Amino acid sequence: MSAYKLETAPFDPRFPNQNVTRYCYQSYIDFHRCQKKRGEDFAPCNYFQKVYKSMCPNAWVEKWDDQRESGTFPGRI
Amino acid sequence: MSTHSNHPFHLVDYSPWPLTGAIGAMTTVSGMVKWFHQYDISLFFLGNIITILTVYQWWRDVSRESTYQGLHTYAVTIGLRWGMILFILSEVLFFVSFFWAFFHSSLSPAIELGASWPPLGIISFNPFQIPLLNTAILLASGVTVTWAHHSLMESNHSQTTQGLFFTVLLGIYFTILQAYEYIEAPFTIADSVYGSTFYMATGFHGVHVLIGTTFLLVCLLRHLNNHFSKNHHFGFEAAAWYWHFVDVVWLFLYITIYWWGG
Repeated sequence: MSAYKLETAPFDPRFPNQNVTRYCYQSYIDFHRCQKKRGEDFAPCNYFQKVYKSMCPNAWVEKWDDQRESGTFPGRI
Repeated sequence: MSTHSNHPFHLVDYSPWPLTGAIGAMTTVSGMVKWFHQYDISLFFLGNIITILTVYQWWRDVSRESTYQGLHTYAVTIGLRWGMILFILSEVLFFVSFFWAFFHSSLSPAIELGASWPPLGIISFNPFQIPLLNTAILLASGVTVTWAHHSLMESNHSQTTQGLFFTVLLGIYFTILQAYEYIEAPFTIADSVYGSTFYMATGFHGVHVLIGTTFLLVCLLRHLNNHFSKNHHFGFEAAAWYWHFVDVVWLFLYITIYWWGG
């Protein structure tokens, strides 16, 4: 039996509050900005993806993905 | 009514203006509701007419009581001073609420705005063009109103006239430039909380400029009718206080909303 190591996003002192909306949002932006700057194969970018995937509600991510596709995402990536 | 008494206080006569003022205010507010819900501005317009007729006649009466009946003794003017100080203080708090709304929305912008300020798509004004000119205009008007005040205290009638004239002129120039900015603006009050806070704050400041300019214009007309003397001119001083207040509010608007927030 292999041992699974369960992990979630670590505490980030920029976002000390119980409400982690901004932690989620900033990580989503950081991931896409990182890919834009370093290319999609740049492995360290995946850290941000791991964070937003564990912090963000899936519905939000879907909405933001749709917005990026249609060019209406308001964040600065 | 006899103007002779053995005390320094001004016991006012019966007057219809508090009642017509209340009717004017109620009509104006009801007119705004009608305007915003049914897109019909007529009742709001009527309320403004009633209010303007009221303030014109009420303050005409006050001028007569002061200048022609001599009812504004030293003790009375102390009350007027406190009244004006407390009124301006309430105005300060009025504008504090708009700055509060602005900083609430801009210091940590909502994620729906992309967590950025100004929000994506808002093309804000260049603060070093017309807004900077407006800052210079209002600062200059603060100088001219002081010129008028010192001339008045030295009984220099013509220089008081000139100082007040240029102050009013600068106030009108400011209003024209703000109107031009509003007409040319690439965003509206409906464009996110940026537009809401921008037009709420600058719009109410603009209304105060209009009122302050009118106040100073009334002082100019009263001065041309020799209502003021070197040691009895609180109407003028109240207008100057009010004008300085409007000036200071603009400086805060310019630094925070136009410069930092743009």
